[in-house]
Amino acid sequence: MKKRSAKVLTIVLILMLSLALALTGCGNKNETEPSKQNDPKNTTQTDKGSSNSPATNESSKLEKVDLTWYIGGTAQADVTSVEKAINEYLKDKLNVNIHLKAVDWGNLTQKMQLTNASGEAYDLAFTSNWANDYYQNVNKGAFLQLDDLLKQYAPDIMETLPEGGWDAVKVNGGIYAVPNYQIWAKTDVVWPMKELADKYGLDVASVKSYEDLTPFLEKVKAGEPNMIPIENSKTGQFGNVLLHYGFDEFAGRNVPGVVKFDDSNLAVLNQFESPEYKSFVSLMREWNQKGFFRKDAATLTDVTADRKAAKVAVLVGGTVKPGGETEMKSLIQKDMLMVGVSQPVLTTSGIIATSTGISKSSKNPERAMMFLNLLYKDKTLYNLIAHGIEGKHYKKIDEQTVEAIKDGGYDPSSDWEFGNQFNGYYRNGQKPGIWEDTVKLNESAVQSPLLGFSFDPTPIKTEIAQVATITAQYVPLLETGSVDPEKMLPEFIQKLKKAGSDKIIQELQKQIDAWKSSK
Amino acid sequence: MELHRKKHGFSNWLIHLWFIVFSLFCIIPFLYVISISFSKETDIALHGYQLIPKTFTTFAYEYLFESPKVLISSYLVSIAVTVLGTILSLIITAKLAYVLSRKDFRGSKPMSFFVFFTLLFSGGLVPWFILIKNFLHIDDTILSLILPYVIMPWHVLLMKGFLSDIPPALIESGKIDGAGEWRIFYNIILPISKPAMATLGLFIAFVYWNDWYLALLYIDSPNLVPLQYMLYRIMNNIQFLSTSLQSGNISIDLSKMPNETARMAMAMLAAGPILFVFPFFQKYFIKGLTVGAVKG
Repeated sequence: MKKRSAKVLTIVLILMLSLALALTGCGNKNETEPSKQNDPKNTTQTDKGSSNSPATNESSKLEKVDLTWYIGGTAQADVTSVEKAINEYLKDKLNVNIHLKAVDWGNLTQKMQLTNASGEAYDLAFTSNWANDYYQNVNKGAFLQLDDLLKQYAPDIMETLPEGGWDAVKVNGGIYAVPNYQIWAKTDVVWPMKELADKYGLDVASVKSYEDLTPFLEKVKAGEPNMIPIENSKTGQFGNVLLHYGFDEFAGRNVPGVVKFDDSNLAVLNQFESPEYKSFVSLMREWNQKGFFRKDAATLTDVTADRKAAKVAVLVGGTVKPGGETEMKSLIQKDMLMVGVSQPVLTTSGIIATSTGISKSSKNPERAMMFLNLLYKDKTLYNLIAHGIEGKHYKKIDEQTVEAIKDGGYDPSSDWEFGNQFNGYYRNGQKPGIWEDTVKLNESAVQSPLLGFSFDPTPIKTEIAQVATITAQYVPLLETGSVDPEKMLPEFIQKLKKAGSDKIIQELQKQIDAWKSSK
Repeated sequence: MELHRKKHGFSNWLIHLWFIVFSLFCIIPFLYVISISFSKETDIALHGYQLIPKTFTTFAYEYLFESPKVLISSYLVSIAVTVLGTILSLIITAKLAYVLSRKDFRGSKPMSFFVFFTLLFSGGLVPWFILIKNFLHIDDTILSLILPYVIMPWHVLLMKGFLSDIPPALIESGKIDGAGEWRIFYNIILPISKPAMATLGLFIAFVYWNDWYLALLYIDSPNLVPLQYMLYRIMNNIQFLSTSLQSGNISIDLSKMPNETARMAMAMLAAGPILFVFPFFQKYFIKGLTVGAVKG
């Protein structure tokens, strides 16, 4: 017995020792970290002082610095030769050594969290509301506030972007990222297949909502036994008709709380309790019973296979934009019609969907800003980074249009990731002139009354998480029409209330009222 | 006698049936993967998955071997990591386990506990990441794919279990004959624990071969991407993009993503080598599993 207790004692001792070791490890880290973080700040301050004058006078005097840019997408095999070409080109302009670090879209969020946590220095990073979340980065203090840098080093960005863009990225009055300039306006859309629309006499001009599609879908169902009349999946459909019903879903997908665009009082509603939601899920139920969806729609996660096989008569999701049909055609190999079912709207989420932030760990934030500024102005630089090197990675078809060379080793095909997309060449198949059309669309779009409001989820984190488990369960069922809404919708709403949806609405209203009075 | 045999036959049949059903559950999905990898993409969309391809085609494999550079390099990385990692891990695990299994080593208990403790609790992801990146500076090298798995507590305990069954008399006899500790380990312990080593080696090789997580965390350069990570990336990307892009203003050209048949062909290529390795180890495998049991 005694022996055993002695053993237990040794074990406890060892445990304590190892704990102590671990703790001292932490302590050391804490001590060193502030000094590490101070370092770049100090250098930036001195840098600022020294580089102020060269920026205005002569940039050739700039010291050579490294800039690391984290972007999303597949790592390109020949990225080094592109980096080299960029550095060569910028030698007399900025004198930077650019490193493009591509991380797969699916991993970008995690990778950036780890990079921030480890204190690794980087300069620029892609940020958005769907990958490497913008607000999370701002709340954690990973991004630098850019207002002063923009004023000092980015005259071209300021000139290019419309005012609405800056409103969208503001958090507590400060700007922490530069929105990339591409299609911002969002319009709800359906994509009927052209040959079927012709065959069954679908009058596109008359389609103003999902309901208007019902007769067409009936004919497709009767006449084309091998086709799926309309796309539907686990993600649910209501997200694709929010603008149609005039809702701005500003707190995140399927988080209760929307504001109507035409409501100047900015009253927050629970969209799942709205009559619009009820009529929508009833329509989905009707369509499901008529057999318009895939049978397994409620569990389907990947719709691309059906799209590629051209098996679906009407696709849903995305947005109306100039050149949208050609993009769809390159995926499906069939002509699709682009039919808008809402007015074009500028929302915060549509704008921050593609933006670029500057890291707090950056040692040369002003140089990063100058580089970003050049991307909005300098077409050569933009095309280098978006398309690669001419003759090696792409060939010109005409003055404005290029085509990627197969297996050339560099073709990120995400033109919207690098500053101002309207600086770029058109890709083969895109009609020249769509950039100008897109700018016009952005400028003519209706602004959401909530543009510039950013929602802080911290006070209601638990409620949001609880609600998310409920929506994950009911949304796929209701929005694919797999269950009877007469029975399940009240049950859904009741469970949402139990999970705290009313508290979320109250909190949202509180934040919006505070924002409104501060404006 | 007759009755007994009947009963025996019946339970035998039941056991056979159970295992037949069980192996069918394992084999059929695998057959599906093979079949899909040889099917035409449009057939799958139109008719669903089928055990025998409607139209037999090697298109998916041709597609993969069209630009074989990436595939070959990731194969090489995977093989290098698996071979080097397995050898290193086997040697170090065996040594540690041997020390822990020696009853005449006083620190054996607390040290065993130390190993066991890490089986249950770990430092967490961020400290781990910081250790590799900021202190060891081995991120984005092949070492970052090997070192973290060199000692896995579960393997050490398994090996310790094997080695504890070696009678201490064997070691003593070696000592009497004048052998030092190293000689005892290499000339007596290692040869008699061959089956255990083979089993453990197979386990370790599986860990290295199937790992994509280390690459996800530490590898940036495209020529250090192992096969499984390449596979994982493709799957993960397709899933992430098809769920998150439906709502956004972003257009990503999904037509460039490999389609279903190509993905299955990749799964086949990733699983293939291990299938061939397995029978090679099998002769030791059964012995290895029973080595911990009491022997006559």
